[in-house]
Amino acid sequence: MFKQMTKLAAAGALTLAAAAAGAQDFPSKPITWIVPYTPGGITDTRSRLIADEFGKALGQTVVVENKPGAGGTLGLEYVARADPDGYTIVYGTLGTLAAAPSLYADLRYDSLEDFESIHMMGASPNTLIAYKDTPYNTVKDLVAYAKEHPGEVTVGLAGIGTGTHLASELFANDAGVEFLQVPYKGSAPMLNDLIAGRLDIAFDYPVSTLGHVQSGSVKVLGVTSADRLELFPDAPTVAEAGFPGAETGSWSGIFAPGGTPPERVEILADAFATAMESAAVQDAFEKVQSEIWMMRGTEMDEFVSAELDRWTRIIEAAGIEKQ
Amino acid sequence: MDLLDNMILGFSVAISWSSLWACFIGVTLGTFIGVLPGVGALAGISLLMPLTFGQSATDAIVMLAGIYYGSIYGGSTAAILLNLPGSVTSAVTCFDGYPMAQKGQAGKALAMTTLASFIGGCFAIVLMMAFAPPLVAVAQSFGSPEYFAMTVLGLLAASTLSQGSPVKGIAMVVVGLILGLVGTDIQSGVARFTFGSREMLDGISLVVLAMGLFGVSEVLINFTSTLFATSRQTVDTSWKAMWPTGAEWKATSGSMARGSVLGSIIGILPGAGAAIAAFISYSVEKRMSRTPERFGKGAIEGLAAAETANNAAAQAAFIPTMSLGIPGSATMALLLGALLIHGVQPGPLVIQTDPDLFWGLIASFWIGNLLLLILNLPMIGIWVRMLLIPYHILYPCILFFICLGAYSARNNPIDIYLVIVFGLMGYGMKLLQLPAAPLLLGLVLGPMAEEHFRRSLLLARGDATVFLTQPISAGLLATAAIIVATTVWSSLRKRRRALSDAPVQ
Amino acid sequence: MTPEEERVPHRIAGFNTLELAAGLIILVLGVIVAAESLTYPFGTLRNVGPAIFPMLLGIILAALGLTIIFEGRVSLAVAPAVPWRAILAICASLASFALLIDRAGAYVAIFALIFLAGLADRTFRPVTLLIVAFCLCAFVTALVMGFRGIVNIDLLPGA
Repeated sequence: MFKQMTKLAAAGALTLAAAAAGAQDFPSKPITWIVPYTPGGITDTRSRLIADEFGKALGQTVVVENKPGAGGTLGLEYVARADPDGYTIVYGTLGTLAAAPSLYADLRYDSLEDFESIHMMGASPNTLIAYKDTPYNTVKDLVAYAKEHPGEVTVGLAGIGTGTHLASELFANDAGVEFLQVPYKGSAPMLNDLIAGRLDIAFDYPVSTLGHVQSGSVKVLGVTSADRLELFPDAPTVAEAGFPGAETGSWSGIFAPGGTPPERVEILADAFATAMESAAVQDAFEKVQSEIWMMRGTEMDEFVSAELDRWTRIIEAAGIEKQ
Repeated sequence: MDLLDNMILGFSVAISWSSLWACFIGVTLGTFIGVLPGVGALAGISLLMPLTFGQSATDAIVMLAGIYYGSIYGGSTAAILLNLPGSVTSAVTCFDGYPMAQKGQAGKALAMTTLASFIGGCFAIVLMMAFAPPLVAVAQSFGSPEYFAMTVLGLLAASTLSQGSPVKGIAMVVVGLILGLVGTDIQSGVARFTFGSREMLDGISLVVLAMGLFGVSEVLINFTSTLFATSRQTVDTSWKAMWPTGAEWKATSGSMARGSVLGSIIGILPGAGAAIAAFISYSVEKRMSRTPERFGKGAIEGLAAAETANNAAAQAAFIPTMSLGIPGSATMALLLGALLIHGVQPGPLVIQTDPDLFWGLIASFWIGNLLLLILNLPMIGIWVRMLLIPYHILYPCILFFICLGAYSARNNPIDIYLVIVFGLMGYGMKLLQLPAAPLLLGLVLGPMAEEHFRRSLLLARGDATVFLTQPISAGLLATAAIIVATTVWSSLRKRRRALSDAPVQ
Repeated sequence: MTPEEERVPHRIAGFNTLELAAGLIILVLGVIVAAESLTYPFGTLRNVGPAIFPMLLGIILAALGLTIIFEGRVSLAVAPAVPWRAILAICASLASFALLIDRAGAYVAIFALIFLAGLADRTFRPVTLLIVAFCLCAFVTALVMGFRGIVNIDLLPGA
């Protein structure tokens, strides 16, 4: 009798244990968030801040792992091959998802097939800035001048395939003008030449432009966002200046490897949304003048797909060859 | 505002408990990060940045800055003891630091680097305090033609770095230049010498190269000598042995002065970093020495010059960052970002809008450098004792640190494979008596030279006379031409004299 | 000291073999670089292309290689004995770390690294190597715990 009861008890315990284990207990271990850029810089720092809040909302640590290289594409390649179990996510951007397929010949991922969209982070629009003594003060003036002097106005690029490079190609394309492109390794040397007057114009980000505008070293001709920016209330948007096709912003979001179960994507998206709404994150984004986009799910899928199409067309039109 | 008033303001800010603590944590952490080969200040700063969000802007930047220049202090430790540069800036320290350690003078080398670093740092701080605006103007006037001319001068200096045959030295510089070409060409977007590998698109990392070329090859070399069989020579750890003698002080005072000036000038230029400053200062020192053949074998002047220069450059890099809002390197860009996140706008106005922060930061530099001196000197005894560890225990540990350093760069095992390749290459070079130092300099200066050459022509619309019409660039190139002329002249004279002196056969 | 001073430099057809080898390698490297650079665009004076520098450098290097061969005719350079076993052991050791670090985690990689490196030593000291490996594992654990975030190394298998 005693023996029988023990057996029953054991069976019962085992059943309970099995049920508990079977229950969707995601996430049950830390999540790895791959940031495909070198440690340092606004991208990485912001990711760590968000990861902190993200982890709190998920109830599990989110560990940021840097896997830099080839403009961010190495990190995405790594995640594309990772297990789609929801424990690996990646920081994806306009550059790596929408533009890279047209820039690199042997890219080892498909932007749409190999990734699941989880949630957007936000976007940072570009500012069109110029050396303070240039003969043009607005976007319209610039376009007029550039049409009269094709190939003469020098535009600085912070690197091939970067957000600012793409913005300048887009603008040149839309406005129908030809600039003389001067590539740099990063925005710092570019700004150095711009302030000294060795460069005519450049595309930049609001946060790094602000200081130079305030000190009078550069002037803002326009912005590429949909609405005017608080920081530069006198700068028209490219749409206002007559070039709505030049509207763009370096967007970013988090993605999971293709095939990750939808329930897990949902859980991650919910937690991420909570993190983005937290005071700390809102504050950080505001300080660097970036917008937060609360986009997810199908809306996000469609957006990424549309961006991919758009940039494929633009890059082809600009005649940039694949590496 | 009067300079004295500014300093009083600065110190009053920096001596607050929170700022002192921030400074202490920063420099200590920085030293530790610097000592670990391959793990750089960049990573350390980026990790701690989120933790600083709760601090005041001044405390945050004081701490992060402390990590930065602290790591430059620490980087020379592994360079001297193990021929492993802790970071790119310490690569030059290996040239004479490691031979000194091999001669049993490790303590002296470490003491010298600490002192030299302190002097270099202080010099740059004084410069920053007194001459920030005109220096910034100079930095602004450096465009691509000027940078190109500077790299030409630097490359010429590189040709003096080799021990033996100058032809081999120049050949190695050229190899270094070629290695620097690997990767995506910034101007055209074309991938060069990557042979289809996407991992090579970013080029060859200097740290990976140095780890292999210096670190691994050194381990391999040690297996050929009898160093292995016998115990390592006894190291004198008494305080007397660790302190430079009076004669050494005299010899190095000139080097340190020159190193400070050169380092500060080069450090101010955005894009020219502490590593370049160390190289150029070392080369200049070798050129000016009456006994250049001692360099590379443990010449204390070379060590002093390199270390003074790299700390001066690191400290001076703050000048364009704070005054122009233009960071000179990736690490500076990070610090700039930290400032922006804390709501401070670096730029010409920062001295007016945030005088507390600006002068407080400068005062913290003084305090930080002093703390580093106090922290590092006693540690020398500990480090030197490490050399007493039998080599059969030491070398596996060295290999571990090499792997750690190489892997930590990109979390990609391919970097370790590259280290193996460079290690074999370095060993081969030692066998064939091809010098490694010029190669490193070629790698550092090559990409800069090409980038600025092409951009100069791009901006000048193809007008090649741009290098001669710009005054600074023309001046630098003229200096280079003079150096070439005098070197050729003196070597011709030597040959003629040798021929005329040779006994009739 | 190995009797290096007593060794006579090896010569082939009047050329010092060591210098010949050095010069040849450099010559060949120069030629390869110049040849490869032909596949890149040359550009114009206005927009100097990516082929110019490598072409120039390749040619210069080849010329220097030739100079080294001829200059080395009078050289007395000798090659020291090459410790093949040590070289092999160390390469294997490093390669094993690279292979295992992502797949099996740091602990396994460290053990492989240390023990394979130990093969380079004339006397194999398993106990010493074991202790060293354990200490390094402890160190890396401390590093990963303390610097969570910057040092991203998986300690255990199954990344």
